Amino acid sequence: MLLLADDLNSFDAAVALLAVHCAISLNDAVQIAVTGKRSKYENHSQTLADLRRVCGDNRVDSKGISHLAWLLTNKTAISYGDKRFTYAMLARDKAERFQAWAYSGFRRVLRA
Amino acid sequence: MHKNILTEAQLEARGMNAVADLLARRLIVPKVFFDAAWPSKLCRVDVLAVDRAGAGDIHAVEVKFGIAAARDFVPRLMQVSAHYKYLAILNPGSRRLQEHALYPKDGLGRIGVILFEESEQDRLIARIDIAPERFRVGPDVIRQIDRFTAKQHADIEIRV
Repeated sequence: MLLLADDLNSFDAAVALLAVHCAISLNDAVQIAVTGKRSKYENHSQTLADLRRVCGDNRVDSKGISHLAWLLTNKTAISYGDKRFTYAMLARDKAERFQAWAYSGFRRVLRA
Repeated sequence: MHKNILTEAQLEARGMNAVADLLARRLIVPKVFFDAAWPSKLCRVDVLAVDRAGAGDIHAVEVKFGIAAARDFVPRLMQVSAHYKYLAILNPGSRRLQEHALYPKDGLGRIGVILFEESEQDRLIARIDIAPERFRVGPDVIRQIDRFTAKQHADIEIRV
């Protein structure tokens, strides 16, 4: 994502798509690491509710979930939209903020 | 033109910024600390980066002016607690560090070498010349870096 973001004019669609997918994967990683299973729901609001519950159970501030929520809300427009998605830079920013939050809050289980 | 009158300290400071930029692009949401008191107040590391917002590997970089200063610093860098260690060399001239000197006498790891080049826009760009190899770090160091990142303000980080 970062490499492609060097040339955002050419690769904005790919950057936005990678931003969404890396956040979804990280969310899965958090939930698997903490609960042993990931959200199976296609419903994004249920996925977010699951993550909120994980935060509550583990006393982790849920502030960062808003970044995942933004990415999920825009997933359809980014992945399948007819029009060019014009907020690729913001998508990258949201993905990075979600990563920073997840690695800080779930440091023990996500330690590399 | 002004670059000719910069002191070694100014050039090294410029190098630290370029190194931080390199690490920020290679790592995942790292926390970067300049002139970090790591692993104790008695030691300073020019650029310390902790991958994955503090949850990942520790990268320590020393910026040196000239190949001789870099070579002389190798034994001290070997003692620094970090998974990845680098010497970033400004103005290396035509000589290179002997690669075998970058390996510890025993155990895992290799010190990486970073060199610099000027872009056409007068930007100093750091690039990896010799890739680092991972050193072994004990669990006590992990606990120590957790305390460090919790306590110290990072100079560069992605804010939530």
